Amino acid sequence: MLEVALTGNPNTGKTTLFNALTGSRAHVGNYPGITIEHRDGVHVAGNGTQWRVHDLPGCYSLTAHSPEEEIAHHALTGRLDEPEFDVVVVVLDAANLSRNLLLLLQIAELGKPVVAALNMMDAARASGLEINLLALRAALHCPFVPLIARTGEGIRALEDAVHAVAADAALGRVPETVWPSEVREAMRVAEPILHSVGITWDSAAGTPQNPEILWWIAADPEVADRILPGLGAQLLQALPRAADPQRDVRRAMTVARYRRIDEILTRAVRRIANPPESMSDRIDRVVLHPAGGALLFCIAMAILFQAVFLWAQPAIDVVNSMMSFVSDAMRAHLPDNLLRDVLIDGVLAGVGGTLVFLPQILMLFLGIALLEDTGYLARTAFLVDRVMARVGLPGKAFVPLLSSFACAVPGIMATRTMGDRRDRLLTILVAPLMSCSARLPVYTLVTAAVFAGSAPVFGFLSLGGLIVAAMYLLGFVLALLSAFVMRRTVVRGGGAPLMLEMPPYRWPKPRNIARALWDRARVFLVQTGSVIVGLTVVLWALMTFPRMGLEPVERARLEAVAEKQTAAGTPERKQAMTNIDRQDERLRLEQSVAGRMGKLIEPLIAPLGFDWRIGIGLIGSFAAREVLVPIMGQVYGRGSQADIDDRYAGDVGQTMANAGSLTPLRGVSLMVFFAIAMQCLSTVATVRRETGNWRWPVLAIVYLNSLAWIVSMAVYQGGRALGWS
Amino acid sequence: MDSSPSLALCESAVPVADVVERAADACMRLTLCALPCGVTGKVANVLLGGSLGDRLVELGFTNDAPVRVLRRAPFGGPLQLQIREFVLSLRRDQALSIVVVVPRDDAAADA
Repeated sequence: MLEVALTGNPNTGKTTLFNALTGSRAHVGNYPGITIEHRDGVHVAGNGTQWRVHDLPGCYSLTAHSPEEEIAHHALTGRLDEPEFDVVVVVLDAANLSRNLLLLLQIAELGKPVVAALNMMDAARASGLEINLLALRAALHCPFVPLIARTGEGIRALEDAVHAVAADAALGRVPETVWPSEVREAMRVAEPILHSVGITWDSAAGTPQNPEILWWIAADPEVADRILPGLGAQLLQALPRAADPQRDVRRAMTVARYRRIDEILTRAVRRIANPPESMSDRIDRVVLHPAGGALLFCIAMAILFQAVFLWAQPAIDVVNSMMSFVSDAMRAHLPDNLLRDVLIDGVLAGVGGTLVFLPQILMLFLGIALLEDTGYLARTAFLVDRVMARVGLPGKAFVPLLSSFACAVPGIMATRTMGDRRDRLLTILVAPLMSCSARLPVYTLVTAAVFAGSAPVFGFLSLGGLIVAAMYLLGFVLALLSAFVMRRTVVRGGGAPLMLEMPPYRWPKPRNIARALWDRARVFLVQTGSVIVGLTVVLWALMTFPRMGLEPVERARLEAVAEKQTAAGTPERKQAMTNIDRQDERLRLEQSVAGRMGKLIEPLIAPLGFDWRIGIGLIGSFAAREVLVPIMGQVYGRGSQADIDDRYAGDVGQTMANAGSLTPLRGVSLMVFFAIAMQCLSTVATVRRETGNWRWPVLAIVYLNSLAWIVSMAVYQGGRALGWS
Repeated sequence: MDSSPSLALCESAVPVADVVERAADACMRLTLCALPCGVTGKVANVLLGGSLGDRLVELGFTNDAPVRVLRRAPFGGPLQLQIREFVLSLRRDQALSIVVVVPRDDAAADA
């Protein structure tokens, strides 16, 4: 088995080549920096030789400015759990040779035998470049194979070159660059230090003199320290780093490499025609136009938002009615016991709570996949970068945040396109503040109950509608403020500098899009779904145990009274019996752990204007904020209902108002709390999944819920001080 | 010739007078941020130190590399530029740290 590594700059078609070789279903994206993890697959060459192909993350250099580069370097030098690579295939964008060759030189300096795969030769030719492969090979000695990875053209020649280099590594050696004196001096100083800490290399004949030494000299001291504590500082001290950045050793190396590359390219590449204005350029003249581009951007985002918010609704309704159908069927056919309850109210509710997000997730990712595959996504970041930068968020955060207005779960998953980890964390932490669609039933409950009768503002705006709009604005403003604060505290660091490559426009490929959708849906259903189901069962238990309710004696008494007052078989009798059931249900909830907790937290939520009954709702809606309405329905004896519509929400709200729990001021306070608080297990599970540990979801829960408490309290107490109720 | 029209395109933190010097009669030096759209200049210096500066050099901003501003994003957003054969977007503050040299005629023609 040959161990073959694929490397290259981002967006050179490396992943396309990987897929062509392995037939793997690895994600192919038209967006720089898609490949963050490293994958492998098996390729059987034409002559029967088996390769294990390792797809390393795309990077511009190996100097470790980014996690991708660190991974690539570690994999190449055997610091990851990887076998030694027999051959490193460097995929080069033929139309962009100078920057691409820089990486090739760096890899060769690590002492690796390389094969250069010149991808996109067709594009280079179309842009008027004539590339002389013999001249490239004469200068750099390693094989150069022209390739069109998209069609698979040239793969046979690549196989031959890889086999030749695997048989004789000397064929893949690149002569070392002629280094200026300050670099040579640095090498002389660094070599004994590196030897003394056990970093050694064998200087086999024909290889660069000291593989890896240049990497150590140029590496970020922080990264060097991470590999070997203390080494970075030691090197930094020993190396002659002048104050003038121009004379910095690392820069001197890059400049020397570029000088060599420029020399080679003047011989090897000839411009035979001026590049015709490409289709992408022509489209960009409109799409990136200061006015037209901004308008088009707004339209595109409005359509995306519409799709997630409205067009997914029919599918959500289908999921909801399917779930109530299944739960009705189970209720009818299973014996009435605890197992049935845990299946229906725990497991099935959890499955439903997972599935209900699927339509929006699919819709959003369909939109994003289209934007990404056509090449527009990178341009949206370009267009809004400045606006977002004012609060410390990068332009790439725009689409995820916009999506979070529909639902934070797909929004947080959409941050995967962002690349920089700190930028991504920040976006994930503020995304739950965007008022998602699950908050709407709560807003409806309050506005229908306490603002329905209010006189319109300015004669035509409904007060309730204005207050709901204010909630959206509140979430948005707080998100920006939180981003601003967190950029200076928990997620410190300047964020990634914007270095954005604009991929050419392409027609989206249905296969790519279907694959992206499938990947996202699977990850969500399996990984997030399991957490949601688990936590829903726990919450069900809290709201069920201990099972008390009406004393049997009391129940019998009530039933006797009802039987005396109403005639058998009449609707009145039925109504009376239902009322007893509801009373039983309410008492049970009250005496359950959740109910007791509601009472327990009453002192905590009293300053916000909430009583213990709303407290039960708050505990319940920690799982999913939309369950506030049915829980309140149960608590206030309106019965629960599987599909929450506006009328039901208004109905429950009215009951709460009549019971004195809800006044306009308390209502607003409740809305504010729900606008801010992190009350969504699905979001918690998604944050956990996307950040890789529990630290960030816990931080999000703590900061969002504290913020919700503070703002709600300020609203309620402030309102009271102003004499409102 | 008065160079202010092209420089007005960018509200820079660096005093304009510090950046623009009439180095030689035949050409003038300005920041990349002030380079008018469509004019090809040559990189003269990357003033930024640290790893961000290193990254710019690695992306091809070495002395004498040809560079051209293709367009500017709305609302004072990033610049899209072509460095060597490669199209890249940079924020304004990054572009401010790159000094370019342009033949005077080219700059004047555009300004």
